[in-house]
Amino acid sequence: MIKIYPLVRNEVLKIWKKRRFIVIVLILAVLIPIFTYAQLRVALNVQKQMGTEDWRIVVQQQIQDYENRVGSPRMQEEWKRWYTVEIQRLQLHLDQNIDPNSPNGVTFTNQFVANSVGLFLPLLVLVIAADLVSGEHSAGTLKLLLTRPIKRWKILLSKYIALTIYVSITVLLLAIMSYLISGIVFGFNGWMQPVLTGFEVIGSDLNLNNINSIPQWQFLVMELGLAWFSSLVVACLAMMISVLVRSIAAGMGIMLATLIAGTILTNMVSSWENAKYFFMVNLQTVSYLSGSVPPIEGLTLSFSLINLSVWALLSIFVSFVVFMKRDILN
Amino acid sequence: MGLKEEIPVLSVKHLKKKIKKKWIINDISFDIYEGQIFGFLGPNGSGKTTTIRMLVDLISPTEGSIHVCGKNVQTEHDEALKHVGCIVENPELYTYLTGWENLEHFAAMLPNISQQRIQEVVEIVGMDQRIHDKVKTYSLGMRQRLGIAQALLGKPKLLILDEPTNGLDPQGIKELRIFIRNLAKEGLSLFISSHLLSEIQLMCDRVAIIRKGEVIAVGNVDELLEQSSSTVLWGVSPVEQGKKILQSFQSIELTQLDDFEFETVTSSNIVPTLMNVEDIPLVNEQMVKAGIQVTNIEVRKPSLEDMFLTLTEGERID
Amino acid sequence: MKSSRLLWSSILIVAIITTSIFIYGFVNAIQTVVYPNGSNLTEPEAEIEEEIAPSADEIIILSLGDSLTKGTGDKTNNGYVGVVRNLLEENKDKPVYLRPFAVDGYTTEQLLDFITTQSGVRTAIKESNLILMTIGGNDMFSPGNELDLQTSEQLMKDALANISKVFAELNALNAEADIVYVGLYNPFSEIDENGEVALFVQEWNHEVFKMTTAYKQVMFVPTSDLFYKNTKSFLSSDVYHPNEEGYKRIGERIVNVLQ
Repeated sequence: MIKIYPLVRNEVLKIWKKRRFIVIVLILAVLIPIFTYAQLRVALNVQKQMGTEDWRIVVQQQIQDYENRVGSPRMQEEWKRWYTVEIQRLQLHLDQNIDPNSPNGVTFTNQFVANSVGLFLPLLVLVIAADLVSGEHSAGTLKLLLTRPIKRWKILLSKYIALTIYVSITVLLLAIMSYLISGIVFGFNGWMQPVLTGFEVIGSDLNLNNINSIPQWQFLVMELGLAWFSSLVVACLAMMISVLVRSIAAGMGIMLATLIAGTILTNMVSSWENAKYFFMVNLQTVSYLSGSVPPIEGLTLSFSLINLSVWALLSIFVSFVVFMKRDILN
Repeated sequence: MGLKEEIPVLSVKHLKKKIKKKWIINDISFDIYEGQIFGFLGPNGSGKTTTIRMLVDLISPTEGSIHVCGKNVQTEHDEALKHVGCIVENPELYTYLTGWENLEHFAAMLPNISQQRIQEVVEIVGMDQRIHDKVKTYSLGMRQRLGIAQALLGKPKLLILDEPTNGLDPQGIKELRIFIRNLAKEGLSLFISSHLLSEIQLMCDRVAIIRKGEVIAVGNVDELLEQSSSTVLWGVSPVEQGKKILQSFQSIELTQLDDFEFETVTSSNIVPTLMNVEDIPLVNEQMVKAGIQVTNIEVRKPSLEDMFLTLTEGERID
Repeated sequence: MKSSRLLWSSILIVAIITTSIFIYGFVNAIQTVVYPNGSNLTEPEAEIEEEIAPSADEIIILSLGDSLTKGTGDKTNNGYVGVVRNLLEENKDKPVYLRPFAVDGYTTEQLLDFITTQSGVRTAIKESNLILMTIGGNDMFSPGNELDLQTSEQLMKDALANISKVFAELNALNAEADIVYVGLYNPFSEIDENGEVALFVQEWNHEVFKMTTAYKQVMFVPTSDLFYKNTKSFLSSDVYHPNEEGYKRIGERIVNVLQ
């Protein structure tokens, strides 16, 4: 009996030596400064318009702006709902004297993770997951793997574990690089800065009964936990595609198209309720923490997590069945 | 020989495979014993690769069974494949790893392979110089050697090589041949597939010839070669003198046609012979010298090699 | 692979630690969102009233009030506030900033509540050099509804009381800034045949003007004359709010008053 441990080590080292991780580091190293700069421009622009850095004035102005938008007869109902909830959320921050956008590296990281979880983070995961099986297939090395005296399910399981390891490291890397790069511009403190969480959106109202003020580091950890889970689900689905589709390009294309379709759907499906069963619209689990209006009415964190889990388990099941039964013909 | 009582290293029984409603492999059976070099000869597309893939559990057979050292490859995957080292088709290794890292990778998939063993197989295939370079910088010959090193890691009882001479230069082929002989001397059994008879002839003790998924001949290479004379029909006049000349060649054997064939032969001055086709010009020259009229030379059954060559002609593209 | 032992152990250790943290965060997030356990919020401490004074190096314009100040009807949405801002920017060499706080449909009551309770706007008021405001129209008329002067007359009283408090509050927060109250005009002059509405508007303006005289920095800027003739050409399509041209005239008048 060969234990699973050396197999996992093999897989982890192969992914590393394929230099996939360097690709991820490079993507982050190029894009995070761009996002940081964009964020800086927004801050500077507000300051230029209003002549202040006082967050209360900025937030107050934002509330007034949203109130005008809600009052506008041309505004669509879903947007009105979004603005109404947002006004309540901002107002609570004002009342509690908590800056929702305090400019520091931790806040930037928080917002960056929240914005990445729907598309950017899944794409990074794809860089690693997309060719884990199909890559070995097209390179022919899969034949060698499967002719070793090890059962096929163990080989696939070792790949899943290695993938989990890299998903963890990728999410960590995203957070660390975002903190370090944005910290240069916005400053490195903010760990203990309070944030509000525990919002529950009911219709166009916020349930304020369970709101908690927690230090920002704790919020970040919860957020990373949810982002990690979403990434893991994407990784499982990418793995299934990698098992089913032999061509790396086709597999990558399928996953990309699905994920991008997800972001398009989240922007337009609010009236099509059954769209909530797609995994793509459930990926943004992080938004439940900060009390944003979900893309489809009726989506909750529990629903999203259960939905994602079902998708992930199904994909794992399909992967194992196909991988264990299939004839390797070429 | 007492060999018959021992368990064959590889035993294939009534192997069949149907892919998309088509029988790709139709009833293949053979056994390989310890220390044997077994050639698996057939043109491209005859089912060699499919058979090899079934031997190492990449494809599951539709019918039949494969046992390695008495263990069923399908049901006792780990125990059976523990004894098998193989290169299926090309020696495809991880090009982004070094040779050494590749060996470590596959060593980790076998029980109890020490660093010394890895060093040993590196030395066996003579790769010490370049073993720490990335595989993508290797020539095909070096990849072939690394592939063999990988296959030898677990001290297998059976080594399966699929077209091992592909892409090698004549010098490399010669070295490989010596190498394989040495392995067999140490008690290893080898299963070598090829589409070239000459290669099998030089390397193997026993051979199975496969065509369209069926074994058309199995036996010792020498025996098969002896049988490889063709039936040549000589139309000569006068007949008796012609027969004498034919008999004067040691390699030519006069024969009888079977009934079916006889019906198709209309002329009475036909002499059927078993002979090597290459000798025909020489015999013909003798005939002419002796003033015998040769009215007809007809080759009826091709030799093993000819038969094999015709099979392979035009089938080079897989 | 033995040759990568260090690499492998580093990856493994980092991954184990990271994964544990993430699992903790994940569970924690579920607890917080799915199984909430009440709120830990306390009543925020009474706001420390910071001493902020407007700076002389810049001009901060604060706009307060209703849709007229927000600029409804102006396609560029700048309104007269935008006109004032641009003109001041041309005339003065100081940086000019604008903080728009006006909301469509605001009444005097809402405005009073807004500036007394909201810390953001209170800070903004303290920092301002110039406050521009319109308020009161929504208390007495609402666009679209039938004009009923009798009711409006009754509503005027409360509205004026609120405005008085607004002025007092603004003065308390910032006694230095110029405060411009933009008077009401009569958008109905073309249907107002016996001048009833005009008189009513004039009465309102007069009452507010009386209040402004109590504060030296509060200015009442009349606008009804600007919309007296050719009213329609200065009104937007809702025949209630001014259009760009109308706002331009209001803005120019304010700048003239300030100079």
